Formats: sequence, C-alpha cells, structure tokens
Amino acid sequence: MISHPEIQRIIRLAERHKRSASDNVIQNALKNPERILSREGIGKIVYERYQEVSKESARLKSFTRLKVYPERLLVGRINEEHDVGGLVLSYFMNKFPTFFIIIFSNHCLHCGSKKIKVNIEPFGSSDEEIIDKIRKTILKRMESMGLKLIETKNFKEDSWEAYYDSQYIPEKKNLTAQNNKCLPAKERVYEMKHYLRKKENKSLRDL
Amino acid sequence: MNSIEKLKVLAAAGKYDICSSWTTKRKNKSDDRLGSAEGYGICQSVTPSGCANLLKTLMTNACIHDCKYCVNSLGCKKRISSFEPRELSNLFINFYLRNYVEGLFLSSGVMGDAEISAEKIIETARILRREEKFEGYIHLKVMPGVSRDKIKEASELADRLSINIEAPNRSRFSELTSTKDYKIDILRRLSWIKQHKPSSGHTTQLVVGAAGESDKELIKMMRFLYEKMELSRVYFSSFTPVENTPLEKMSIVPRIREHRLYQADWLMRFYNFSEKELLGSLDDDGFLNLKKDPKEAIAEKMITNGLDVNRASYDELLRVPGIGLTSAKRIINMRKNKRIETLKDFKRTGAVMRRAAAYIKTGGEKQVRLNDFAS
Repeated sequence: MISHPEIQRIIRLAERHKRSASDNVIQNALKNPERILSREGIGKIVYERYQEVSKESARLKSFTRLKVYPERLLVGRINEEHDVGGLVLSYFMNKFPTFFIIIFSNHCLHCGSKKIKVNIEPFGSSDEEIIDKIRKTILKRMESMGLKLIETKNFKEDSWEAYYDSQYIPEKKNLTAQNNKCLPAKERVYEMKHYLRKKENKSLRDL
Repeated sequence: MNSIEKLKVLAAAGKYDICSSWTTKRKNKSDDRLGSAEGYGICQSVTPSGCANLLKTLMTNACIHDCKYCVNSLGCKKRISSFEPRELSNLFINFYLRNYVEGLFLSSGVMGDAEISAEKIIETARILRREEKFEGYIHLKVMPGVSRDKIKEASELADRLSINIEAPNRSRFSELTSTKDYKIDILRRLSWIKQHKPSSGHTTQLVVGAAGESDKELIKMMRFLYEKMELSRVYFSSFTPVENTPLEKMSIVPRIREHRLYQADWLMRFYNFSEKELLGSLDDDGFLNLKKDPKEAIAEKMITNGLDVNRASYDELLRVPGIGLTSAKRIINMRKNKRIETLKDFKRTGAVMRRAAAYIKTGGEKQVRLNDFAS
C-alpha cells in the first residue's frame, strides 16, 4: 500500500490512461514507487501518462458546454481519449449540487447528482430517449424534494457568441497565447470559426 | 434594445477592465448552492486577446465623469444602454449553467449619483447570492465617491473589490479627468476597502502612458499600494487610443512596456526585490529598458563576479536570471546532500541555463561571457 499522497494522485490519474488498461506499466512501477517521484525509467512513463490524463481532464472541465433542461438537468458531450468521463462528471456534480448531470462520452454515459438521488436505468435506443426518460424521473423526484423548475425560455443561445465577440481587443491579439491554453481545435468550434489563424507560409514572391 | 444588443454594447464598453483571478479562499457553505469558486482556476473561454472566463460587463455606459481615455466618458458619442439587476443576474446564471463563464465581473458608469450606480451593482450581487444561492466568483467595481456603507455591503457580497486609480499621482490624475478628486474619491475609498477586507482581497488598475507618466512613478505607486493599501494585485493597462475620446489621436503605448511593468511587479511581490533595486534598473528618464527583462538589467549591475551557488542564500539565488522560486528551493535542497560541482548538476534544478550560466559559479568556476572579453 502506498502512503505518499503525491504518488497516490499520480497513480490514480495514470490508471485512467488509455494504455494503462492493456499493459502492466502501473503494476511494475508500483514495485518501486520512488521512481515515479524521481521520474526515472518506468516512473517517467507513469508520470507522462498522469500529465496527459490531467491535461485532458482540465480541458474537458473547461470547454464542455452544457445544455440546460428546465427539470434541473444539465447535459454535456465529451469526446475523450482517456477514461476521464467520471472526473468531468464529479467536477460538475460539485459545481451544481442541485442539478442532475449527464455526460455522454465516446464509450459510455456518466450521470449523477449530489442532491437529486434517483434510481435511473440509463438505457434507450437514442440519446434523446435516455434524456426524456431521465427528465420524467427527475420531475417526479423534484416535486417530493420541493425543488423549482429552471427558466430557460428567455435565454437566447446566441447571447454567448455576442459576448465572446465583444471581448476581443485587436491591439492585444496574441494567437500563440490563445493556442497555448490547452485548446484543441475540436473543443472550440465557435472560436475556430471566427478567429482561425491564417496560413502564414511565405511564398517565393515574399522572399 | 433587447438583452443581446445591450450585452454587445455594455460588454464591449467594459472589456478594458482587467481581472485575472476567479477563485476564492471562501469555503462552500452547503449543498443547496449554485456554483463553486474553490480553487479550480479553470479557464472556460479564450479569445485571441486573452481569457474571457468572467462575464465582464457594465451596468450602464452612461457616465458623468470626463476621463479623457475612456470610451464611456461624458461627451463621447455612444449608444447609451443599461441592464436592470434582475435581467443581468438571469443572463449570468444562464451563462454559468452552460459552463461558458466561471464568475461575474461587474462595473458601471456613474449615472447621476455614485450611490445609485453602486446600489444597482450591489443589488445584482444580492440577487445572485441570496436568491439564486450563487457561491461562485463575483468581482465588483467600486464607484469613485461612493459611501462607506456601500463598500461594506459590497465586500460582504463579493469575493473581490476594485477601484481604478488610473494614474500614479494627483497631478497625473488631474491631466486625465477634472471631475474626480484623487485623494478623496479614489485613495480614501481604497483605504475603506482595505478595512472591510473582501475574501479574495482587492485590486486596482493603472492606465500606462495616458498621462505621460514614467515607470519610476508607477513603480513607486505600486510599492505604496502593496505596502500601505495591502492590495492583492495591481493591474496595468497600456493606453490604447479609442475613437470618439479626447485622446483618440495620441499614439498607442507599446504592449512591451506593460509587460516590463508586470515583470517588475512580479519581482517586487514574489522575489522580494526592494523598490531601490527596481529603481536602479531604470534609465535616466525613469523608464524600464524595453529590450531587457528588469531582473537581467539588475543582475548585470549587481552580480559582477559570479554567484557561488554552493554558498549563496535563497534571496541571493532569486536575484539570478533564470533561477525562479522553485529552482532556488531545489538548489538549497540539493546542496544539503552534495555540492553542485558542474553545470550539469545545476541544470537538474530546473533553472534556465542559457540565462543563468553567465551569473553563477559552480565548483568555483564561472561561465565566461563575450562581454568579459570586451572589458
């Protein structure tokens, strides 16, 4: 049993790496845990896996946009490489304890809530069917808990785009800094649509 | 005007205000809450000109002040618009639930009376905190000339408060505006905010270059603000001429000047550099060298013989370019076990070799610089 908290944290995340399920790297590294801290040999591989997983987790927590349903239901979709759906779910559960969260990922569906405890079997032929099923169940539970519905009709979905555009200061344009903020193109559809970096390759004529 | 049009006008009018923090030391109270600001530091949205993860907007862009650099000042052509507190709080909650933003940054023009404008800001925060049970991050601007009671109430509701002092002293300030008094409307309010201690501290912002001030004046003011006013952060905003303002024909201040001032600010706050050391790196006119990092400019003057990394204290190590807070600690820990004999040993501490090598001695030897031959 490892007692060092930093090693525990590294292992906990490295285990979620896509390759960790199919090889014995973690088990072998645990035979000599000090190498994980010193990042030598197999410890370096474990550390790199930990970094990849934590980066993806932070990115998905930041850029997963949620759809709001009146029944205190928030639905997000992630396209993850490693097994980080559970981490993203627990982040949103802590942030919105009085809401029920559903995260659709590549592999499965993650759902839960800190406050709204319901027994749900999230099966259905389509995502919409699953959402409808869960909405009905939550609505019944909300009545018994005395929770109110959320007002969603007055919000216009393009408000965000209007706000985002208003914040751009041309004099402070720094695309390198923007690209360094762990922003893969797939996570920022709107941003890429409007501010895509133009190809700046030089032609012979420029030279 | 519908809410999207209002948002376009008021958010664009407030975009020059700066705040880079969105976490708080405050603990979540219960599970009945909405949101949390406990130590995540996650950035939801990044524009090409920086992070946009706070909903940053004004309550109104109507203003009785005549600040010459400001797009909202009295006499500037603009489309006047205002949010009502409930309208803005609903909009914010909808952004927050969709994970577009991490908190609210609320400022305002002064419409008629500072008290009325401050009340509208506070009312929005009150709705969020008490009705919506929002426990995420809220940053409120304090209006110049507002009463002490309003500041007290705002500090109870918000995580962070700020009032913009804009210029480093009274004479520079009077060049920018004639309707505000530097000492009474700004500095006195700053000291009141200090007394009421918002949970994440308080900040201010200086416009760099609008009143022709030197870096010397800015650094002196910065030290005063950190030491006497206990500010968490001083932000700098290099002056950008905006259309329809009295200073629209003035030339833009290079962004690198703002960057050098932030470097000086960092040296003062984290590296314990004294005001005297920083002022020593200025040129005869009182400006920082735009081509050189202030730490390097100071090291060139102060470290002439090379610092022995096996004997130097923590503070001395921090004065070497390329050695940061973490690498200085690592050097101290490393040499408890063995002497640092070679540059290879030194590199393991994580210091930036190409910057540090010219200023240090490992095992009694110093890396020779081209400048050494010249002299």
